[in-house]
Amino acid sequence: MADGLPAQGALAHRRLAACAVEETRDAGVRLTEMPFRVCINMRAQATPEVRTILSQHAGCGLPVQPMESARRGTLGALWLGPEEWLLVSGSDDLRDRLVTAFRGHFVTVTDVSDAYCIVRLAGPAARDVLAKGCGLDTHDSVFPPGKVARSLLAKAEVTLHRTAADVFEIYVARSYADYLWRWLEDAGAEYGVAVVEAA
Amino acid sequence: MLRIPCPFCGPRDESEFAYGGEAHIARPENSWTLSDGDWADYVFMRTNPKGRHAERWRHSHGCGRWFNALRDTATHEIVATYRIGEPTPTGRR
Ligand SMILES: [Zn+2]
Repeated sequence: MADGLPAQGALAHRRLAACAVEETRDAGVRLTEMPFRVCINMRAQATPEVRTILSQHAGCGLPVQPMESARRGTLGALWLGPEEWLLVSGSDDLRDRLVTAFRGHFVTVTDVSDAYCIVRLAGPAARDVLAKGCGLDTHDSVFPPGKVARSLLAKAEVTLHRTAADVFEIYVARSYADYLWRWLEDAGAEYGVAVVEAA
Repeated sequence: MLRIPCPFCGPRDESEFAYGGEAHIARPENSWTLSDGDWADYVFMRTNPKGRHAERWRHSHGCGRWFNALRDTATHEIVATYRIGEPTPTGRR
């Protein structure tokens, strides 16, 4: 990020703070932008050595089963494909720590934080809203909390991470952020949408 | 809309995938020794069957991986999918 410019989320122009509400009891879905999360794309063969280094330096395991994720504190490791993960964190120094830790290993670590907008879709109607624009089966039997998948939502490529029973975190390219946010508001309208500020 | 079972991710909508043409076409070794006819055969000529066809697909809006599928060109049935490097499964008929 360029020095001297204030950091702002991809949806800053929508002035979400001004629309945010505290009371969400009647809302079928709650929408929240999760700005400033550090996202690192990591590609490697998940050898025991690589997994050990990651757990030592980032404190998190590396999920090797398709569509699985691992979490330790604020750090998450999301399976994107064989030998590809998205590491997410609240701490700015993650990339530097990984670059240092993997020096000399055949591992690529790419900071993609500013490429994504992250929207949290929560609430009892979250799955119904997703079903309007996504072919992914999000039933508990195949996509329980912890599962992650890249797919299409309203024709936009997204990474969908179910973090709790009624909470989905949607990673979408920053240039799609406004489109997807408005699509979610429209799709959620019949259930009642509440905009909530990130904690 | 087809449902295609990615060998990594399981069944997904066809819209997540990209088609990659006929599978198991090996680039000829010593290609500089080929005649124009043999080279054209490698580059352009495909089997184009009515029935089972081994073909490449990419899970481009999913895990990003290339894999092979055995598809019936008449019914669009995906008989089987398998990873690159694996042999063509016999599949049911
Ligand atoms: Zn896949």
